[in-house]
Amino acid sequence: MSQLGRLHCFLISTKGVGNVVYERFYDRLSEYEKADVRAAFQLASSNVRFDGEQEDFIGVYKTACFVFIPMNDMVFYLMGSGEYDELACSGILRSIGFLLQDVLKTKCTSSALLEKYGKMCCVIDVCSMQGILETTDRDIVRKALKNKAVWE
Amino acid sequence: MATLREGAQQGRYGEEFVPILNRFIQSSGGAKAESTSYSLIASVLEALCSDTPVPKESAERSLSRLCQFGGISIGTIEPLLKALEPSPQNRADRELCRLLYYLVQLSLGDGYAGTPMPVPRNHNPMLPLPKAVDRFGPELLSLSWADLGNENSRFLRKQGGMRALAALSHASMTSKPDDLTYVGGMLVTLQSLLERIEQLIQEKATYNAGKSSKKSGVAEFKGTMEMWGLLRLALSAARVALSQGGVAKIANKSFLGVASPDPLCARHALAIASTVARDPQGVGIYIEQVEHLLRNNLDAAKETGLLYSKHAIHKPTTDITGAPVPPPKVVRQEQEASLNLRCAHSRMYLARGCASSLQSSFIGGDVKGSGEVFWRSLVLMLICDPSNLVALECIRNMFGAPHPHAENLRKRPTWMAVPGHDIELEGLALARVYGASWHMVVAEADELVPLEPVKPMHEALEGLQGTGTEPGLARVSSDKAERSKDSKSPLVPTPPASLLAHVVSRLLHALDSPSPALAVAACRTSVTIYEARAWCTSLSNGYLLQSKPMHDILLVLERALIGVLASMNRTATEHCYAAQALLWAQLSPADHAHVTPSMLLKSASHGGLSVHSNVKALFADPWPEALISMMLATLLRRIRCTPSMAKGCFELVAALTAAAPSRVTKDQMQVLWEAAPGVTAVHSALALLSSPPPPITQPNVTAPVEVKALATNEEAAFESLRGFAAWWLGEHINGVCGVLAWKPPPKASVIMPFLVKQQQPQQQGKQQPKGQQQQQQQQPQSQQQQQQQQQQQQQHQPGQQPGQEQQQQQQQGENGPKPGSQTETANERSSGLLETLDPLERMALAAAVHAPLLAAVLSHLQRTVLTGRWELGVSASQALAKVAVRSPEPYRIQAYSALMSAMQMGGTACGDSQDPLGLSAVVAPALEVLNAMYAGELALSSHLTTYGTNHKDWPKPALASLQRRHEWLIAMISQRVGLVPKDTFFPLGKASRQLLRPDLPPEQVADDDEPEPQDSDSDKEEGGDGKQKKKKKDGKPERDPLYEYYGDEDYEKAHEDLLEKFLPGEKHSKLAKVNWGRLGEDAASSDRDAYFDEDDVRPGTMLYPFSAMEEGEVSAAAGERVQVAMDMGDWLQVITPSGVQGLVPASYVRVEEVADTSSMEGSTRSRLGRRTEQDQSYDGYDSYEPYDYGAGDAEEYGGQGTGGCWKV
Repeated sequence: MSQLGRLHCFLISTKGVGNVVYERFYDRLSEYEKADVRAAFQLASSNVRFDGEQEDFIGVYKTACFVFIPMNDMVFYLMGSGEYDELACSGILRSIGFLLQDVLKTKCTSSALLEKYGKMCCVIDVCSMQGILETTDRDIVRKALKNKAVWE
Repeated sequence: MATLREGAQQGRYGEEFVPILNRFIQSSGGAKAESTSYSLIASVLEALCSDTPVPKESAERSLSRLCQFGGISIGTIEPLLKALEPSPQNRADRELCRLLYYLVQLSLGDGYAGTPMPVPRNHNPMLPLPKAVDRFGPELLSLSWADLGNENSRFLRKQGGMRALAALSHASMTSKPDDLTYVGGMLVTLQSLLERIEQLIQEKATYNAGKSSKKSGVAEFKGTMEMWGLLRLALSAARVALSQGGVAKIANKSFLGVASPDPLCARHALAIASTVARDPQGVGIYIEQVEHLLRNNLDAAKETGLLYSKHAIHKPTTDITGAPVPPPKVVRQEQEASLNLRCAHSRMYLARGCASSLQSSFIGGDVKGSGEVFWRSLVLMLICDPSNLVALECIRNMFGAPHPHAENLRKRPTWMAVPGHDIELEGLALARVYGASWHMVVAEADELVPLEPVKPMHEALEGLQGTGTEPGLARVSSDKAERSKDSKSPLVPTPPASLLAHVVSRLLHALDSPSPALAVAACRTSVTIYEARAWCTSLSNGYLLQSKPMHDILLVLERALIGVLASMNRTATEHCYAAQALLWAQLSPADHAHVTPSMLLKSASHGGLSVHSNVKALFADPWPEALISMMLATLLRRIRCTPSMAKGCFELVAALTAAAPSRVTKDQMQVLWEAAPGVTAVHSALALLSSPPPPITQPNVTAPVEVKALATNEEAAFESLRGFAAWWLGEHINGVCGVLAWKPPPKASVIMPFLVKQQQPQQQGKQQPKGQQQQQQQQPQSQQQQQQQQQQQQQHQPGQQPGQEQQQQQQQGENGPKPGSQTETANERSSGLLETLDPLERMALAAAVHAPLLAAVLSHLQRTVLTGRWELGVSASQALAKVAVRSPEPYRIQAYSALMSAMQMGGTACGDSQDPLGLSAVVAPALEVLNAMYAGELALSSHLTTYGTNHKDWPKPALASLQRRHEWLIAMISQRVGLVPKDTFFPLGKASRQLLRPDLPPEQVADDDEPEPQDSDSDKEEGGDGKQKKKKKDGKPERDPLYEYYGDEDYEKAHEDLLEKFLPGEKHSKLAKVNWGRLGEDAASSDRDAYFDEDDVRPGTMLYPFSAMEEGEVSAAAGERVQVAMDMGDWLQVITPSGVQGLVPASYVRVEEVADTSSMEGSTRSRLGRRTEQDQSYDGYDSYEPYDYGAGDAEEYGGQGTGGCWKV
C-alpha cells in the first residue's frame, strides 16, 4: 500500500561540516548507499545560503525529492517520493521541528538533541512508521512519549 | 583500531557485525563520561530481562545511547525482545517501554537509524546489514507482538506489537519476496481484527439506537476511542505491510473508519478508500459509502465554508473587520455521520477519491447530477481550504492526474528503465482520463463560484473576464462594500469569480511564494492542467475546447511560468516543471514556443545542486538525472500526443543532451527516436552525430581539477551518445527510408534534382496521364514530333512514369501550359546534362535523389568514420556495414566504398602505414562479407546464363551449393554485421530467390517486382552476353525501377566500373565459366569456347585421389594437375589433363593463384570467400578464428564447403 508514496530518509546534521546528529532510513540500504544519500544531502546544502529569507530548500536524489530546512545550528532533511512530494515533506519537516522544540522544552540545537536522544528518536518514530506518515499532532506525540494513548 | 577490532568481534551468532560509534558522537559532550562499547551498553537489555531492578535514569541513558549506534546487532535482538515482557521491576516504566519498541522497530523492520557508523574491513559496504527476519524464526520474533493477544495489555503495547508485526512483514518482503509467511499471517490477522471491529461497530450502533441520549460517558468514550484506535492500527499496518493485492482484500473494510472520530484512523481509511475509487469495479462501492457522508460535510460547510467545520480548530475567532465570530454550534448528536476531514492528508485522499468517482463510468463527469456532491467538495476544497497541499491536489485530480506512486531507491524506476512503458500500458487510458477531465472542467470553468477564497484574486488576473475584478464589476462591488460597511455587516461580499480564475489565482499565489516546495507543487499542477488540455485537443483531432475568458486566464498562468523558467533564482526542479508545463501549453508547432532550446540549455545547466560548490560557481551545475529523465519522458509523451511537434521536441532533446550528456540515458533516446516520425528521428540522430562538443565539455584551461573532471565525464558521455546515434542510424535507417534489400523499391518514382527546373517548362507536352493520351492523338502533327522526342526520353528514363505523371499533373495545374519551344529547349538541355555526367556521378546522384535521407546518412557516417574519434569510428563503421548489407544498390556499393576507403587511408594519406584509423578489426570482417556477397552475385549471374532461372533446369549439386552459399552468407552476416531476416533476405540477389525458394507463390514474386520464371530456352538464348541482366518476356531487359530513369546500361557500366575500381583484376566471367554435362555436346563445346578463357583458368593439384560416383563428377588421381574452371563452393569444376570436365570436391584440390592477380586484398581472395594459399601468406588472417556455426552448420561447413574456406 505504500505504493502511493514513501518517506525514505530523515536526517539531522550540523551546518557546515555536516556531522550527522540523527538519521533514519526507511529502506534497507547498504552502507555505500546510505553514504551516497548523505553526500547528496551535504552537496545540496553546501550549495545554498541559509542566511536569506527562504525557509525551505529542495533537491533531487535519484527519482525521489528531498527538502531541507535550517534549524538553528542544524539542517533537517527529509526525502520522500510519490505523495510525499516537496510540499508534503516541507510540511512534515516543519511539524517535526515544532514537535522537537515542544518536547525538548528548550531551543532545538544539536547539543540538546544529543542530550535527549531517546526522546528525539521516539518523536520521529511516532511521526512516521516505516515510511508512512502517522501523526504530527502535538498532544498525541506527547502522550505517545509516555507510552499512553491520547484518551488514557 | 580497538573499536574497529571490536566491530569485527565474534558475536553470539557467528561473526556478526557489532556497531561502533563514529568520532563525532564519541567526541560529543554527553558521550565523554559514558562508555562507547556496544556490548557494555547493550547489556542493559539483559539486565531489564532479569529480576534485578535497574535504575530508570541509568536504563534510559543506556537505551538512548543504544539508539545512537547506526544499527542493532543480531545478537542484541533476543534480549531486546525478552525485555519487552513486563517484569515486576519495569512494568510501570512506560517511557522505557516506548524506547524498547523503537529499538524493536529498528531491528525487525527495514531501515536503520542513529548515526553513521564506521564499517569494519570484514564487512562489504555494498551489502545491507542483516535483519532479524534473516536469522530468526517466528518462535522468537513473535515475542514482539505477544501483547496483541493479551486483552489486559495497554493500548500502546498493542500498538507496539502491531507496528512490530507490520515492520517484520515489510522486511520479510524485502528479504524473501516469495515467502509469504509473515505477510499472509498479517493479512489473516488484519481480516479477523477488522471483522471484529465491524461487529463492535454494529453492536454499538444497536446499543445507541436504544438510548435516549446520544451523549457518551467517559468510560464509553474511552472504549469507543480504543476501538477506533485498533481500527487505525489495522489500517496503518495494512498500508505498511501489505502489497497492493493484499490491501485490495481488506479495502472494503476501510470504509468503517472514514467517519471515525480519530482523525488518523479516518486518514488511513480514506487513503485505502481512494485506491478503491481508482478501481473501475470498486468505485461504485466508494460512491455508495462516501457520498452520503460527504453530503453531510457539505451541509455543514454552508455555515463555515470548510468541509471539516466540526473540528475547525484553526478557525479564527474574529473576522477581518475585527468583529467576533460566533462560536460553532454545539453538536451533541452522533458525530460519525460525516467524514472526519480534520487532517489535511485526509482531505487530500478525499480529493483523489472524488476525482476518481467523477471520472468513473458511474458518474461519467456529470457534475450537476450524480456527481454533484463530489464536484462541490472538490471545488470547495480547491477554493476555501487553507492547506495548499489539499488545494493543489484537488486541482491536479480535477484535471485527471494519475495517482502518485512511491519509488524504490534501490531499483531503477520502470518509467526510466523502460521509457514509455507507462504510456504503452496505460497511456491511452491516461490520455482519455486527461481528455475527459478537461472536457468536464471546461463545462464548468466559466461558471461563477460564489465562494470566498483563502486569498483574494491574484493581481495578475485583475481586469480579466470571469475573475470578479472586471472594471464594471469592480465598481459595483466597491459600492456593495461601502453599503455593507455602512450597515456594519460582518462579511464583506466578494464578487464571484469563475472556477478557472480561482484555480489560476491559487496557482499564481503559490508561484509567488518564497518557498520553492510550494512553487514546485504549483508548477507540477500547471503541468497537469496544460497536459489535460493538450490531450483533449489531440483526442478531438485538433479542436481546442476552450472559451475566450479561459484562454485569457490561462495566458496569465503561462506568463507566470515563463517568469519562473527565466528566473535564475529558482531551483532546477521548478525550472523543470515550468518547462514541462510550457511545453504542454504549446498546442501545435505553429504556436509560439515558450521553451526554446537555448533557454532549456541555460536552465538545465544550472541549479542541479549535484556538484561541488566551486564547480557550480565556476562552471556548471547540470540537472540531475531524474530531472533530465523526467523532461525526456515529458517530451516523449508530447510527441505521442502531437506527433507534428516532434521536430521542436527533438530540438529540446538536443538542448538537454548538450546540457548534461551524462544524465541522458540511451534507452530514453532510443524510445524517443522510435516514437517520432522516422524522418524527424533520423534528422535528430544526424544532428547529434554531427553536433560539436557542447560547452559543458570545454572548461577553461585554468579551471580547477573538479571542473575538468566534470567536463571529462560529460565529454565521454557525449561521445558515447554520438556513438549510440551512429548505431541507431545504422540499425534503423533502412527501415525508415523503406529501402531494404529484401523489399521491393517503392512504386513512386522521383525526379532528379537537376531536371526539376528543366521539366517545369515542358509539362504541357510531356508524359500525360492515360486519360489524356487520346487527346494527344488528336494534336497537330507538329506536336507529334515533339511527342516522339518525349517518348524517347521516356524510354530513356522509364522510372519516372508513374510518379512523375501525378507530379507533373499537379505542376501543370499550378503553372499552366508553357510554349512548346521552351519544352524542346529544356528537353535538349536536360539530355545534355545527362550525357555530360560521369556514370559514377549519375549513380551517386540517383541514390541521393531516390532516398536522400539514406544518402545523407551514408555521407554522415563516412565522415564520422574518417573524422570522429576511434570509438565513434567503430560505431559508424558498424553502422555502415549494416547499411551496406541491408540496402540494395547503389547504396550497398556506396557503403562498401566508404568502408574500403576507411581501410585504404594508409596508402594515400599516411604513407606506408596500414589501417591508420585502427578500424580493421571492425571493417575487415564486414568487407569480407560484402566481398563474398558480390562474388556470389556474380557467380550466380554466370550460372543463370548457363542454367536459366528455372530451378528445375539446375543440377542438384549446383542448387545445393547455391543453398549452402546462401546459408553461409546469412550466417556470416548475422555474426559479423547484424541481423537480417533469414526467410526473406537473399544476399545473392533477387535472382536466387526463385532458385532457393521455388515454393513461393508466383503472385508474391510479382508483387515484389521479381522477374517471372522464364523458359530455359529463352534463358539460354539471352544468357550469352554474360551480363547480369534480367529479361522480360518481351525481350527487353527488365530494369530495376530504382535506376531506370538514368538507364540500365549506364548504371551497369557504372556498377562494373565501381567493381573494377574496388575489385580489380576480377572479371565476372572468371568464375562463371562452367559447362555442365547435362547440356548437349554442341552447346557444351560452344559454351566452353565462349566462357573459358585460358588465362582465367587456375591450375590446381589434386591432393587426394577421387573417384567419380555420380553424373557430372570426374575421377582424378592424387597429385594430378587439373585446371580449375569454376569454383562452386563445395565443388570445383575442373578439367583433367585428359580434357575431361567434371566436378571434384573442393577440399581435394589445392588451387594455385595465377601470377598476374592484383595485390588488392579483395581480389586475392576468392570471390566465394575461399582463401587461397596466397591469402594466408600475407593478409594477416592467420590468427583468424573460424566462427562457430552451431552443431549442424559446423558439421556442414567444417573443412570442406564454403564455410570451411577459413580453414584452408
